[in-house]
Amino acid sequence: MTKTQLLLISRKYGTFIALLLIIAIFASTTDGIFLSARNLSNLSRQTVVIGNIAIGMTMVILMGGIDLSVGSLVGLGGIMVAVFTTRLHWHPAVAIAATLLLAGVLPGFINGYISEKYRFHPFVTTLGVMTIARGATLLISPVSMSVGETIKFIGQYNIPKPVTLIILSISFFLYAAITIYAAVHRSRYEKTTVQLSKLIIPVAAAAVFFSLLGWVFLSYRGMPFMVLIFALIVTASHFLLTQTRTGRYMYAIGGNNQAARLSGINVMSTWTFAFILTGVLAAFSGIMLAGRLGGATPTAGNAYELSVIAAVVIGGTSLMGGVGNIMGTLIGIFILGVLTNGMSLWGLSSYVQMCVQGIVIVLAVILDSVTKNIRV
Amino acid sequence: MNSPVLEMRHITKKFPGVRALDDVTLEVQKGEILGLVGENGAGKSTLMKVLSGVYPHGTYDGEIFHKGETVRFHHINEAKQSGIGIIHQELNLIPELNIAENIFLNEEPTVWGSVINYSEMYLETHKILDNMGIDMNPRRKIAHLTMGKQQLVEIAKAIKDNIEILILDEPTSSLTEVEVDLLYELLRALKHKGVSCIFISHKFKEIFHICDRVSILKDGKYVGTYPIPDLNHDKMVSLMVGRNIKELFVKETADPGECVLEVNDLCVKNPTRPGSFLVDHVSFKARKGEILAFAGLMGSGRTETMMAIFGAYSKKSVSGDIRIHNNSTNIRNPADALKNGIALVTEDRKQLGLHLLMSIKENITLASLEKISFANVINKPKESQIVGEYIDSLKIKTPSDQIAVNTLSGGNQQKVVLGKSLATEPLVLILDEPTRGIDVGAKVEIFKIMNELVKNGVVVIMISSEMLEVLGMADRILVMHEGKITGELNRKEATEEKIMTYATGGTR
Ligand SMILES: Nc1ncnc2c1ncn2[C@@H]1O[C@H](COP(=O)(O)OP(=O)(O)OP(=O)(O)O)[C@@H](O)[C@H]1O
Ligand SMILES: [Mg+2]
Repeated sequence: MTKTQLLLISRKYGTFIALLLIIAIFASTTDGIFLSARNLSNLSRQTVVIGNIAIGMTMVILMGGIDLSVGSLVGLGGIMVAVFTTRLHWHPAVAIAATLLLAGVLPGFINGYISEKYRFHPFVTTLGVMTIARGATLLISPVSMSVGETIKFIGQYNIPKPVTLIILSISFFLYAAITIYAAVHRSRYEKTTVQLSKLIIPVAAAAVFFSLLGWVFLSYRGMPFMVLIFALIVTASHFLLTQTRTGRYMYAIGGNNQAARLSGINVMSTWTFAFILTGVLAAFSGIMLAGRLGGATPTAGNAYELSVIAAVVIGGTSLMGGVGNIMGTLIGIFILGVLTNGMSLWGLSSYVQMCVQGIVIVLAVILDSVTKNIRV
Repeated sequence: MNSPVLEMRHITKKFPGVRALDDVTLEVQKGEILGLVGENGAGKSTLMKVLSGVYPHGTYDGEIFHKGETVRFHHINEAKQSGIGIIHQELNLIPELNIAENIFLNEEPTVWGSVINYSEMYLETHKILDNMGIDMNPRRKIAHLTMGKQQLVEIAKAIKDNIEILILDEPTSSLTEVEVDLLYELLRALKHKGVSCIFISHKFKEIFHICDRVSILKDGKYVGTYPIPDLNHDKMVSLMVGRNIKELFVKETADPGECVLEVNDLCVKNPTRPGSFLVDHVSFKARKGEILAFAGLMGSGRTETMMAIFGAYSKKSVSGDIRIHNNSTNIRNPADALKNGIALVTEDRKQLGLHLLMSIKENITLASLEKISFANVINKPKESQIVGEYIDSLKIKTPSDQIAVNTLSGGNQQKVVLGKSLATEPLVLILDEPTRGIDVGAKVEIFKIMNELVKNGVVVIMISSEMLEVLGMADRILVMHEGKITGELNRKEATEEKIMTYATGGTR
């Protein structure tokens, strides 16, 4: 293998290999605690809250934007759903819908619409919304509040093991079927031959991945409901970015805004949509977090925006816009999640953890830029 | 013959999936102007990037000799120090900086080591521009200059140092005739000073006019080098393309039918000078079955007229009435224009026409995704099929439709922009300098496509600074000068002189 080939591989799978390495390190230094089903199950639950938001943020950053308000929206979402369910005793469905609307759609709309309409960088708009949202949260309730039973259910319920098994099996077979169908179909319209490696590798990887999930969730309490929701969000977003016009437009807007406009793309609506989606996902994360912890804190989600942006950037999405994808972000989320979890198991203080996280972010970006500029 | 000032031997350069250069040899004599020609994607730009250190030593095979000694450039700065300067096919200026700042970028005169000495910088810039015979204020922002002027700034930047070999990659593609003459003078002056030039162009007239010898590339291979007196147009074409091209303009006349596009009193305000207009009460009609050409000098308001029709400017700065099939339209943005069946191929493909990081496929379908999607979901097989058809019909040279367009040669990028507009299946197709940077063979293809479109009832509006193209292809010619339409000529009466008279503001 030549040097360029190595570099090419590290460009494609660099972050993934890094993830595996980190996992291996923790697995071998924590007396098996890290790899225990219980720990991994908890890890999955912790990751979902940040992960959800990172999915929306991927689209925003992909379009050349940024959203600093997400952390505050997590706090606002939690407090709102607490007020609606425990103080006002609204029906949980209504409470959730109202929360998503007020703590998600509305601020997201402001973030997107205003920055596009008046043409200034969303850094400013979302900084403003971030401050407003945190202030509003503390105004509504300066102290922690408990949330309704249904909300707790969302955050804490575990899907029974048999159902987990069924869900995982169906997902795997669906994935395999779609992969094979897509490859065959594609080779037909692109008039190329099907490369077996392109079939076997993803399906095998999926088999390993799903078995791992199965082992974790079946040996410890079943699949958390939150994780299922997250999986659905990831799938839908991946579909949005790869198969729909909206997704294509996002890449186009991030790649060359002016040319996108001249191609007849409605920049305003696509742009605003991504911010609304991110806002909704942040508010929803707030609801899930409150549910998991059994109550909402007004300071919840503090500084989440930084972890979220870090996950997206580690995942290879370019802050310049135009480049990035959901799978990369997913790996970014895992890297951050695994790091936090593993270092806690090591007993490192959260200060040390912060330093390490910072180093990882910088390393990831260096890796990205080094491998991107290879001239072959 | 004395020994060449520069030799490139056995240069081979590979990209994934393409062998852009295959054992190419090139020799440049001192003080000569060497033409470099070849089809789109033949490897001209790549060869020059190898020479100027853009592709550093080690990323290609072969050797370069400068005055008899082997040189290995690891960076453009090293090439520059050896006196090799390049002006790239795509302009590389920073729009938000002014002329002087661009010319002296990274080489600013300083005092105390790091404080920029602005007065000296402006003074020097004045001198450089004066020497070149150009009258421009060094403090003007690049963004406010026409493409032609920007090109001149690039040249000023390249020749301000002691230069021995100047590479010009399609320098004239956005220059007016006057500016081209200016360039010729510049090159001749350089030649007298003993500077050698490598001059890439698809315009044979220029090659025959200015060059001493011509080197020809074909499909990444070296064909040969010929003194100009030994060549003629047909011979050069057949060496380049590998076959004969009989006639360049294959004009087929169709009967003009009903009026499709009607523009009344279109005005565009000048954003930098309130009270004046970029487009000044322009009115015209375009009929089915005709090719309507807009002639004029660079900066005469042709591009702005078309951009305004296409809804590219904010509604506040535009006034006037645009009718399609006698129905008035309300075009507020390019999306509206496309819905009304108006498509535009812009002259500035890098900034306005292309998504450089996206694939050929994604670029071609970007403006017409609605046609190939169900609800919001893109029908990918159909997308591939349509893109395949355009790649074939436009003869885009590429190993696959998944390739990012920034790796395509300039001419092939132009074809992608054209494909994008064609894919919207427009009623009115506006082409702003459609053949810029396109080789002879492809030009003929594009003219054929224009004929085909016209025959199918599409209105084709063409802006071109190529006099021969306008005379060869247009049914009717409107000439603009300083934002106004100053004359109209039909195919029979049009001559180069008449167009020039109108274009410079004269009347008959
Ligand atoms: N960075 C790159 N990556 C991959 N392929 C490339 C890259 N740069 C150039 N190529 C390929 O190399 C070939 C030669 O390109 P080059 O730009 O040198 O052509 P050219 O002769 O300058 O054409 P034109 O007249 O259209 O400007 C083309 O097939 C092009 O697609
Ligand atoms: Mg070129």
